Amino acid sequence: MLLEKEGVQVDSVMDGETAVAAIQNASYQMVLMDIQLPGMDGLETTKQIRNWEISSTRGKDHPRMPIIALTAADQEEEQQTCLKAGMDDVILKPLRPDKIKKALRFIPNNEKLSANILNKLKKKETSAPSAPIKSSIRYLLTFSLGKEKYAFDMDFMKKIRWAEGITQVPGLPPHIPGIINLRGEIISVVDLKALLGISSKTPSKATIMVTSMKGIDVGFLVDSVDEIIDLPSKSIDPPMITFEKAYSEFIDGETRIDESLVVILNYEKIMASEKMNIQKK
Amino acid sequence: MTPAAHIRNMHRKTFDFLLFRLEPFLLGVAAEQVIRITRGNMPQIDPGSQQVDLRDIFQISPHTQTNNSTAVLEVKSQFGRTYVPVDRAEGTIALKLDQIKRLPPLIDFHKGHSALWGLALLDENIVFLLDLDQLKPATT
Repeated sequence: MLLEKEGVQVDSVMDGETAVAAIQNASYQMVLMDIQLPGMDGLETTKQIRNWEISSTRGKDHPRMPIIALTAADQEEEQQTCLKAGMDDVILKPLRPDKIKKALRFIPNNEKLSANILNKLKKKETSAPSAPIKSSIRYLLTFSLGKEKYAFDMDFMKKIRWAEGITQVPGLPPHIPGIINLRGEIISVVDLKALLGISSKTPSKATIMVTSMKGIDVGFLVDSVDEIIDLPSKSIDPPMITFEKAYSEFIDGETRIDESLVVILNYEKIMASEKMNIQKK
Repeated sequence: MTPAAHIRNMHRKTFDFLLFRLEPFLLGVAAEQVIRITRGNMPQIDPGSQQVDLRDIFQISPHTQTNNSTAVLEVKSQFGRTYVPVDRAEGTIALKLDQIKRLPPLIDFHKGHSALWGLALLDENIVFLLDLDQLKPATT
């Protein structure tokens, strides 16, 4: 979505098999490859694309296509696995203009397009950050909890990583599964589904969104992180479908993206809630 | 007033902790608070002494039998001689000051008991530090 807004034509596919077929049947300048894909994962998909480039006549005629991994995993080992599979670089989620800029370096023979996009991204980067609520555009990070999609304002996002290495702490309520060691910094982890009272099974490879507000870092455990969207405030409706939810007090509004309902949560209200309120101590 | 040189040298100072396991947790207590470690069954509790069960205090595995501990820490606290059954004593370790950290704010707010006061990073492990002086028996 970030790229499309800057005039780049983007084709999106939902799985590895379709990605391989699309690349074999059309001409692309770059692939942004998610690692977690249904069925064949991003690593195997990359290997198949590289094999096709080497073995097929059409593949040989084209220059090696840059494949950039999109991953939430910040572990060196996982990033090395991506490179070994044939990828050219790794970009950590969430995607931001500066990271897109990094990826665009790999587009061959397209300096004019790249320069144009880079200029636009530069303008976006240097413009003063706006308050998340009052701005006419809201930058949101969407994520999944069970079958539903939710979003937090990007302003509070610090890092995204796999939900690995959570150490349980004795005597904590169920919505706080424990803490993680983020390179020597200890971060509390909150199970957002448990906090909001959403009951659904957490996938084996869940994700932690590390957030920060007023110097307090908290990791929120979610099923998966999806994408960054910039949304005009006017396209956010007050809670209509979701107003009866048990956690309606935390809902800022709702919107539809590709026919899916996205519930926009108010991060500050969640942080100030009784279940979280760290200021009370 | 503490001399500045002493403050500068504080980061070099080490503190001895006895580490022990209880269910999935690696816990530590100041070694100076521990009188004795008894392996096996709970010793005879004399009048004036008491038993404190950390499983009850921290509501750890309520369905777990509490008599399967293989070690009992005998500690001195403000409530007298106290026996603390644990799963396994791991030995004593010297922790530097910079290895000892405060609990993150959210954990500090929600922690189940005031005895839990900090944590220490030990390679890949996180040790939860307890102040045994705060372990008031439920019956007292």
